[in-house]
Amino acid sequence: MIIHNPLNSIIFKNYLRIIFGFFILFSQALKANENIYIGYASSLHNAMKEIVNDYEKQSDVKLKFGMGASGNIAQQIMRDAPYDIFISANKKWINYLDKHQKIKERQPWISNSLSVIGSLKSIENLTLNANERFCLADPKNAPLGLYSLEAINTLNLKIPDNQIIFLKDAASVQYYLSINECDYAITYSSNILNLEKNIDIQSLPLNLYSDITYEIGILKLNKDTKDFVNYLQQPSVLGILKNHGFIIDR
Amino acid sequence: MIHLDFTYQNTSLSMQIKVKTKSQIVCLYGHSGVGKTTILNIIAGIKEPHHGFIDIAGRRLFDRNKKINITSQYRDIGYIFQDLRLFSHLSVKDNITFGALKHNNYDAIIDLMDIDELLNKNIRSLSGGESQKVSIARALVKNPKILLIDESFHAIDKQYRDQLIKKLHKHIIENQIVTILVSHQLSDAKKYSAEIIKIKKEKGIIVAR
Amino acid sequence: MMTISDYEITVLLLSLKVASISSIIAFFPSLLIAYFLARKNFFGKSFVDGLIHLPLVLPPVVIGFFLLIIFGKNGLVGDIFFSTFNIRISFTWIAAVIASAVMGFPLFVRSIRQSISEIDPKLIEAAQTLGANKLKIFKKIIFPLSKKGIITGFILSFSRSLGEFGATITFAGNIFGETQTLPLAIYSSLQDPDSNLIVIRLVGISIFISLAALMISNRLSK
Repeated sequence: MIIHNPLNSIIFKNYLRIIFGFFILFSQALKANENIYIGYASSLHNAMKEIVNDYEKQSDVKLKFGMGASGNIAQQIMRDAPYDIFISANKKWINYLDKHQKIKERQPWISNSLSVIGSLKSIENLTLNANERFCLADPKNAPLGLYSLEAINTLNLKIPDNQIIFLKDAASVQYYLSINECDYAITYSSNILNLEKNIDIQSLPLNLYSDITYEIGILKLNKDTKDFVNYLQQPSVLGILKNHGFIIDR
Repeated sequence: MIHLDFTYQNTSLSMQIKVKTKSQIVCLYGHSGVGKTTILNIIAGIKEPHHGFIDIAGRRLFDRNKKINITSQYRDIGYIFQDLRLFSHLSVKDNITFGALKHNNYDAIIDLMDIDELLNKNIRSLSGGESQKVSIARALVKNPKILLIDESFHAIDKQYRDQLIKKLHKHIIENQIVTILVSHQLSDAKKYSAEIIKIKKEKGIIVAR
Repeated sequence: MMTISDYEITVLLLSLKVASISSIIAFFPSLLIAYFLARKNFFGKSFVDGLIHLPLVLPPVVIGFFLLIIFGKNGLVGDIFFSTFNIRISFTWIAAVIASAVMGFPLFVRSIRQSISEIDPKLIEAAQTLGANKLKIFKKIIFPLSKKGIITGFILSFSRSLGEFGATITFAGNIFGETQTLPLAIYSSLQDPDSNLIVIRLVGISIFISLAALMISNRLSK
């Protein structure tokens, strides 16, 4: 039996051609075209959809986005995720990236407040039954979690560890609230607009937690990113955010 | 005692059997591969004929027209397979008593087959002849009304074989067991004084005379 | 740095507990289903077969989602449980067990089914001629001869549970001491930029038990 040199065979050559073709195609996708990649806190998602939609109508820049807990996105950026703009729900994560020289320019933006969900007369006297669960965002990466814990600690609430469900971000809290898995939860007031009408909601007094500040960080400074960030500070856009439950003048 | 009238077909085998006999012991004789084992399997209920009926020892085991089809477990048979089919994960004793009911002839059969010293052995360690003896014992302990034997003595030494067949013959007569044995050695059939039924192929179909 | 802390011990013990209980729960239904799939033909058999394989094929988070639909507080079954017995299923260690059991179930069934179909049908024919009914055949022939498949299936299901993440985090949540099994603990630690040591230790423990499970499985299938 004659063993042919595999490098000469037609099949192998065609195989190489196909692989090469894929590389060409793939590298087209990797080439930076007029795309801005925005990473933002998940609580902004509904508002951002509207804002981005409007912006794309009046500019030929295409916007792509990723969302999640601010801390998660910050860590992705540390691992070289190709974001151009980062919007965090607290200063902590912008500071974190700033320390690592990732932020070229930063601007404070909007604010928010906390509400507590669940049937309780007053939150100070809260006691849970054994099978009740309190949903919070995970303070490790979600600013919402940090703010919530602040409020809980200020109130000196004692909730058993195994009855707290830490969820990965504000969107998760929203989801599990919507399917009724949480007997209680603390979430952003901007999120409560989408919940069912017959759920008990109370806003938490502002003095229980530090000011919620969303900050915009530009990671790649260029005309497109500067234009978009300027757009975000326009009164019309701030108006959209106000409609979505955010606080725009503090 | 035996009245078979059935047709059986599958991809490789086509059968038309008509046998009526009053004998208690019958030997199916013919070339190897002609279909003798298939007839045993049909009587045992392992294979099902397409048409016809099976009457043995006064009992109708199968009747296509009357929709009678007694399943293997209730045909009251003892089948000594050509390929033995011993359960190697069970002990020799558990194999032999597998089909036994509460009142059985366990001791008598152990004696008859002379396998007392095999009882504690592992199935896997038995020789060919020993395995055949255990296989025979297993079928007999059950006290069946019908005994089916498929070429089951070739591994047993010749001198012992004759003795065994004699003892077996006596047991069969005493217990009035209807016995159908398959063999291509006529000498065995003669030792059982069995009625011989020739199975052969005629124009592509298996028939019995 | 390399000493194991209480945190890791809790996580490990919880993982072992969830894995063993879920495999034990999955055993009996797996045996039953494997038996029917291997030995019987019935109407809707390929549908059942497909259904059983869904956890192997669908993303685990989707399975977690389905578990919420069925056992969640508002779920088809969960609702009844909650209103009648005041028992909640989701976000408890029971949920972690259910998630693992569901994910391991197809592996268990496949393993047992293969064992059963490898049993020589001639032995079963012989047993039938010896007067054994279906139950006796199952007890004396099928069950003993499928032991290898049962053990392998158990270990596969157990190992799958040790690595189970998507369905668990969706349906049982990431609650330390209750539902935070090894994979969830590693995931949590990865979220924290400062916990490299914990990650290394947890990953080390994971590798260790996985290897142990594989070696035991090899031993037992000889």
